[in-house]
Amino acid sequence: MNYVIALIIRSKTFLLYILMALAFLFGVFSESSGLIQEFKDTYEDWIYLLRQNVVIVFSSGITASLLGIVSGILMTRPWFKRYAEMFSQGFNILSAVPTLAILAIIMTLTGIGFKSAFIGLVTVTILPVVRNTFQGISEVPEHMIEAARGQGMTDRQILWKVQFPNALYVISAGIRTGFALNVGTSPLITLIAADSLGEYIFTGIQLNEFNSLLIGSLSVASLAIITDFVLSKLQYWWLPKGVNPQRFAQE
Amino acid sequence: MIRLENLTKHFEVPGKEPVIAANNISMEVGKGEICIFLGPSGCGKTTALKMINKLIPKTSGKIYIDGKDTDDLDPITLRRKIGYVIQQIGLFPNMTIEENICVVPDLLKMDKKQSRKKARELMEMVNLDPNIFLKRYPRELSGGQQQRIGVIRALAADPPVMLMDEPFGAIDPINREVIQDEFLKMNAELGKTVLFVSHDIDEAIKMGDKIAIFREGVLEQCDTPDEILTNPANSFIKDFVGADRALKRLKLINVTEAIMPFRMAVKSDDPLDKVAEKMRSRNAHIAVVVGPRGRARGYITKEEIKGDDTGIVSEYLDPIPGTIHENDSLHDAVSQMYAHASDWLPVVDDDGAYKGYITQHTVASLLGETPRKRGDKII
Repeated sequence: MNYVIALIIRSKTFLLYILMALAFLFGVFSESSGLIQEFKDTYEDWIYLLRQNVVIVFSSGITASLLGIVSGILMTRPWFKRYAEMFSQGFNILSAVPTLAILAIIMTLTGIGFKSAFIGLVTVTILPVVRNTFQGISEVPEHMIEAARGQGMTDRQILWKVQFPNALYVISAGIRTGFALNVGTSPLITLIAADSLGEYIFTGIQLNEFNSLLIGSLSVASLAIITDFVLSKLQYWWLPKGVNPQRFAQE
Repeated sequence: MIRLENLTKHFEVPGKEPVIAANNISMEVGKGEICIFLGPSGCGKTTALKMINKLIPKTSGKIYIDGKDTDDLDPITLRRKIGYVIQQIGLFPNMTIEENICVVPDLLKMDKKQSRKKARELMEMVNLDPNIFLKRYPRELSGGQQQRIGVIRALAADPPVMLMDEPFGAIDPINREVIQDEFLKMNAELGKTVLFVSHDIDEAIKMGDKIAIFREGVLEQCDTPDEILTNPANSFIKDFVGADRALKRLKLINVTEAIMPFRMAVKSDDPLDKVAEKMRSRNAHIAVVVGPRGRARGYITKEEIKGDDTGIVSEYLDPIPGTIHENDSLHDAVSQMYAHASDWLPVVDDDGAYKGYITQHTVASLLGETPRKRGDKII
């Protein structure tokens, strides 16, 4: 048995054959169960819902990242230091609230539709971004700040030339977590009447249509994986080499 | 260059008496001098240093740099005019070495080309190849290399004054020696006024033109290393510099100072009776035999040639026990003597030519003869 596992791990060609076989089995299964037929029938809906989903994920994700970074930075400012701990505890508590509850609360405030869904997703995404920005900036070592101050940097220069660049990796990790939460939450916004791939999932559940459920969940799963993959590549290439552990680990 | 007048710092502790980290410190450091702030931890030396570039606000007193009261300067301008090196180095990981070195020139909006050129020059001064290192990031360098960059970063905007807070404290002993030597060589060229915090007496003796010893916020003594070793002002300083302070002075004194006043050089074909006469008149036990180009080739002793009036020097030639360069310290010389189990050594110059010799006796009497200048008692 161990020998077989070792063989599978070592042999890339063999792994490829297995993957091909799995793909083939999946194809057979989906044809026989009518999944492909169902997909063909609702293809136009699918494209529309996918686009809506991507739009709301990215618009809310980017808004939340920007807002999150700004408020995270504000929390580290000296005049805010007194309340910072309180705020970061508050954010921690907020992130314990289930996302469905957040959506429900927002729906009671702003009604249903795209606007509420957008606000809800921003709320979900912003929490890890704020937390990581605050922590990343606070955790820049004291001696580095002393060196910067000793060389005559103003507080603002210390922030932009030293603290922020050195916190970038932690901040980017927060953004990735935020986006993962965002994509994960996005099917739920169907419940407050915003368009997303969640429509497939909830229709599938209600009508007991296995194929619809499968199309919805596979699409959302792929969207999540692709989003994270794109973000990880952006993280790899955009972050300056000096503060990017992924890049100096290779050398 | 730098004058401190009654500099005082009280740290307020809620509910307790304030801690006095610096108590009426007054001192003066001349242009181009290296002054070491020395003392056990918690003695206020670092506080005193950081008050100079206003990283710690002072409670009272005055600091003058180049005759100007630093109260009249805002902290940012002041700090950009003062080089600052810390023990933890504090290079910025997000910047390349080049950007790190040029931080202050860029803050001052100096010409980029000029500052980049200066960075290359400085790197060559500390024996780091600019072509290899300028584009690297700090974490790609070893600790010793990083601190070299830390030092030249402080020099990049050519400030007249440098503050160094235990700069070489975290570097391994072998590298520390090298980087200390480099720094001394560099500063001999640049002539910066340096204030340097250390808790290592050996480092202080090696680096300092002056040593200021602190205890519990009080400046106990500020003098040249030699003066502190020979005339410690009180028992605290005496204990602090250590029971082997006489030995420590060996590092401060040059071989040339202990050299015998006569060379006692003879040639290998000199007749023995003349040599014996010469040795007797100078009361010397040893004569060094030199070759045609002035190099020491061997020696003869008074005892060996006794009674032989007819021979020549080469019959009694003994090989020399080793040589010592005239610019080496007595510390090296004594160490060589012990290594060769000899009580004397011939001194040579750069070309290897024989200059004279030193004996353990001359070294010992040189260390002992420095009189206690102040006549004050050590309790």
